[in-house]
Amino acid sequence: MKVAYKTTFVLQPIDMDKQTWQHIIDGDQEAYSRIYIGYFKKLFNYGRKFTVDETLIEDCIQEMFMDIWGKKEKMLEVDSYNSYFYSSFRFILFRKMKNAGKTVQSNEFEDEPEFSSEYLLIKRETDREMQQALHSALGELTPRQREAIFLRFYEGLSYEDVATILNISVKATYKIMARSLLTLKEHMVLPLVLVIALLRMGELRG
Amino acid sequence: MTNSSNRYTDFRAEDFICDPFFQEWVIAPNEEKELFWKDFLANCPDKNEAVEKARAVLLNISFAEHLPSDDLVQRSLNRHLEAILNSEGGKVVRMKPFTSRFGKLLRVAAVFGGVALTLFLATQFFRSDKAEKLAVQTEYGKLKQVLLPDSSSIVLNAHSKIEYNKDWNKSKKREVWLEGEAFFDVRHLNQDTMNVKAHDHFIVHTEDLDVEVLGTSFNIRQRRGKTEVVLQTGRIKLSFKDNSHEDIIMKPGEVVTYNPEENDFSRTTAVPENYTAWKEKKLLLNNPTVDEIAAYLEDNFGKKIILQDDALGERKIEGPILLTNLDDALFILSTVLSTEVIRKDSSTIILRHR
Repeated sequence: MKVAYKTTFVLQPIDMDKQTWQHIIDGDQEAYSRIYIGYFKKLFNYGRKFTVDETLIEDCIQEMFMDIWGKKEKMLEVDSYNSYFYSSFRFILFRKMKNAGKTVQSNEFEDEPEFSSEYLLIKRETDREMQQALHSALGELTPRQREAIFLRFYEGLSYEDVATILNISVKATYKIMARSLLTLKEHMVLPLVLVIALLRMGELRG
Repeated sequence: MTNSSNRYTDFRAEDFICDPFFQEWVIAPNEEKELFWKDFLANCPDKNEAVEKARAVLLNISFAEHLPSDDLVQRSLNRHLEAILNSEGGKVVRMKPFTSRFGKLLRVAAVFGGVALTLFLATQFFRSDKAEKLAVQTEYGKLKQVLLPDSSSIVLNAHSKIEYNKDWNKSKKREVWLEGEAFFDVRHLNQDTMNVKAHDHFIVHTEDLDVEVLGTSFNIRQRRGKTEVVLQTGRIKLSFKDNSHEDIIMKPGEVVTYNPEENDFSRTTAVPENYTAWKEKKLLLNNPTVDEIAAYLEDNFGKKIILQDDALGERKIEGPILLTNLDDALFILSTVLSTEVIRKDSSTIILRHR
């Protein structure tokens, strides 16, 4: 029995484990469709932070699910479905973005695609000065730091999953996360009154 | 996860912020975690402020959300299920006959919408041993989405037609014949550019030219003797049937138009999305004259549109024209031009100065 979490994200975590996957292999197409739709929404949202090309994103998700279907028996051995789905999607997306970059003869994509800084938000409208301070702080984060924060605090993934997706060690993930969080905190000089107000709102929301 | 609350007695706000166990409570609270932190704060009330600050920081982090439309999700799911079906159909020996598997897929797909599309696939599937070529066409004023056996998708504009072989043999090129206008989203089957096989090629034949691709998205409009190709993503090759021009490799954003009768040929760049706005039932031509718009409406809705005088036809109109139905389009036109719309008979419309 699962505890009903109150979460801060709109997209609910996906219920996915070996048992569900076994059902899928046995022919439970409904479960499969549910998984497809669930991950489609999440990965679409994730991919949109790297590119605005929605056709490309859709293509990558298609390709990823085709790959997975092709080795569906092997998928039973996967430890973390989340990190598997996110990292294969990310891998395909980056490859395709690089290929696309080549055909339009742009050097833009020589490095890894960047997690856009425009989309990191601070939830509540605060005063303008603070907004600006925060905005510059967000710009100071590297794309990788932004992505790490996204995966951990928006997607709610574990440090181990984030490490797998970013293809770095768990230790390095701790480092990246701490550094980005402190940068954010630095610029979030919340007056205590506001803090309490926020917490109340949080409680109400939950 | 177990954790000792002693660990946290010297923590400052920033330490809490960076602590995974603390984060876990903020991201995904449950009773157990609530209990732990309640207990901790009861023992160390001086940590209240630090904890609240840390929580506020973490709770404040958020990202802009980009959610796909339900329609897109459903289409993608259908496309995927169909692709699975195709890949499994390719293997002849199977434990389960794939017709029953297909029936299952069909039900699932129906649940998630796209019923018409799926039914179309079904009829195509069950008839597949009879007809040699399959044809899909649209009436005036209607669009249709078509899923090909390789899971490439086509949006067919009004009064248009595509044909393709029922049998998509893996050793043959993928071929489609088009009359009218369509947007193609071609599935790229092979990423290995050094080793391209026949089946990786996808060719669209029109009356005057062929478009050859591996996997990209593009729009072809073939009306009134003129063919216009607009490339949105990827790369495509055009070859002209009368060999009047060399083959062209198009790049994204390029537009090529060709009319052999009038010996008219052009190659320019444009915003490709404007050329495919018809999929969203909008007409977004590039600085078009009223004549051009009227011709487009005639082609799509099958009515004759007569303009009172030539000057009217030469005027230019900016902005989109709604293509939801002919009345909407005419309403916009007549408002902008200050004309009235006269229906002479069931197939003729006259725009006359007010």
